Amino acid sequence: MPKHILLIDDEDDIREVTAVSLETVAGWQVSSAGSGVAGIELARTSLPDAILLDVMMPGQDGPATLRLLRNDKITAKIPVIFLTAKVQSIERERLRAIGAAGTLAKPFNPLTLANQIKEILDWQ
Amino acid sequence: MRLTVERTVLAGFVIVLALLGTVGIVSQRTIIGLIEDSKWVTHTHIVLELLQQVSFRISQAEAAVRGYVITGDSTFESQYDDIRRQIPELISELRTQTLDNPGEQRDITSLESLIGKRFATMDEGIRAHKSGGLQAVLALGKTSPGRDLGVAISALTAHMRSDEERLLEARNSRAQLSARRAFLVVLSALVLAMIAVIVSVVLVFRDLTRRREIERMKSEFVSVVSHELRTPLTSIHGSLGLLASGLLGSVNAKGERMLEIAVSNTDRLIRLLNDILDIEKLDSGKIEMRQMQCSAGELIDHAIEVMRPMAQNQQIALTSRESELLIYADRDRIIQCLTNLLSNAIKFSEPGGIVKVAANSTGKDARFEVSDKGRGIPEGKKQSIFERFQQVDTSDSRKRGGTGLGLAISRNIVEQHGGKMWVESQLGKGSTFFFTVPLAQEHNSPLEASYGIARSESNAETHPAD
Repeated sequence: MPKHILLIDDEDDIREVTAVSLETVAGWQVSSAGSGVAGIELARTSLPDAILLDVMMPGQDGPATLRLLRNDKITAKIPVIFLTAKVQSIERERLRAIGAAGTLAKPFNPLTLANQIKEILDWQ
Repeated sequence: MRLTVERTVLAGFVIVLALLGTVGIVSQRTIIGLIEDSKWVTHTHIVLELLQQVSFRISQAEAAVRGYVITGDSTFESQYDDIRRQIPELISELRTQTLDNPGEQRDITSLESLIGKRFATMDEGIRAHKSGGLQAVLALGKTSPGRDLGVAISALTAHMRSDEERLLEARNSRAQLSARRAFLVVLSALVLAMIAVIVSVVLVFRDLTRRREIERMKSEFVSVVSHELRTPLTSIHGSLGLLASGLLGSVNAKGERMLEIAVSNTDRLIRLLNDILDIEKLDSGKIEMRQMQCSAGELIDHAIEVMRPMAQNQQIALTSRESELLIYADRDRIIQCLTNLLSNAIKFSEPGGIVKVAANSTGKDARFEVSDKGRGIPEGKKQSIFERFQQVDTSDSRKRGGTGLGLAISRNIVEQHGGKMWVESQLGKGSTFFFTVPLAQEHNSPLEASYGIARSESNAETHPAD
């Protein structure tokens, strides 16, 4: 059974490239949303194995979206990994403190992205 | 604007110096004037004293003569002779003291002649007594001008005294005037100097505030630009990487080569972006060194692990010596320094070469060294390579894919640890880069327990592009 990843990012191109990367390299199934609101809706209906969440989004940003996902019984247990252009360790710790499973720095390597996700989530 | 402020401040200081110089000169002149005036006061007192003496001696002489003619006692006569002998000395002293004043000199000449005449009348009295006793003296008394002469002498000395007093008064008021003037000059010069200093200080502070503001805006700009560039780069890097991997289908050999070039240059662009952001943050002090006790050997192993793929790619052997040293440092940042130095050493080594890493205690601190057997660094470049975008050869960044910021960043990190970074090198024989960081002894923080987690994260930090 291939893993199902939900990708929430306001950049269309990044969503597309990330989806191709995860589908081609790892054979996972990827669905995507362009905003926090749409992402939460999709998470409730499709129940993905993990969510890749962009930090900086207009309107409802990544941390706000994460809070709403955690407060919802249906989505509370889905692991969330942040995608961030900020690579400072203080920033990573801040994101971990609000409940992220890990962070991935942008730009990422499309060939190793799936492995990095597996490593963070301890998937075999 | 910067130059203008510097010029204004310089002008301010020149003005202050000139004003202080003026104050100095005016004060010196005033003091000399006051000393001069006080000399004049003393002088006046001496002249007054001498005039007093003259009057007193004359009265004494008159008294002695009176005593003699009444009693006929010769003691009075010898007393009179003594006094008479003293008078010329007093007169000559008076003359010396008033050399500068022709009017007074004339008065003294008149005084001298009056005194001469007065003594002549007194001599006459004594002679009369000797020949005809008291009777003869009394007979002489009626015609003698002695009395009138005494009055004239008193009048003249009184006139001379008042002249001298008037002079003193004039000198005093002149001195007061010049002192007042000097005080005004000094006061206004000091006020002007204070204004100049205040204006300079205000300008400097305004300029500093402006510069700080510009610095802040620059740092914010770099941060925003770096973030804004990252977004399109993520898409470019991702799609190129997928295309170059061949997973999406194959292209011909030329196409593959083009993709390879595109990927490696995107990698370089990302490294450059990361380094620019890093150095900006290090420079503006936004990155705090999170120092804790950690093992030098472990940091070296970690850095070697990170750099091993690159070394294998270039057929370079990486070796390290066991190190038990405990240091007090920000482990991620020191790993960043080590990987930067290792990456340079690998880049500038020939295939089959060897790069060594070690850490030793100097007693005072821990000294790391990374050495290669590469082409070496010319003497003239040993300092400049630590500056931003300064490489031994300007084509190095293009040929070898560096950013030209690695050493600047590394040195900055080491300096923020209170350490130093330098290089020893021989052309054609190789280079050794050294840096020092504090030993752990004096810091009692426990060994970082969660270093396993920190390790996997630092990968993302030091090489987010990998």
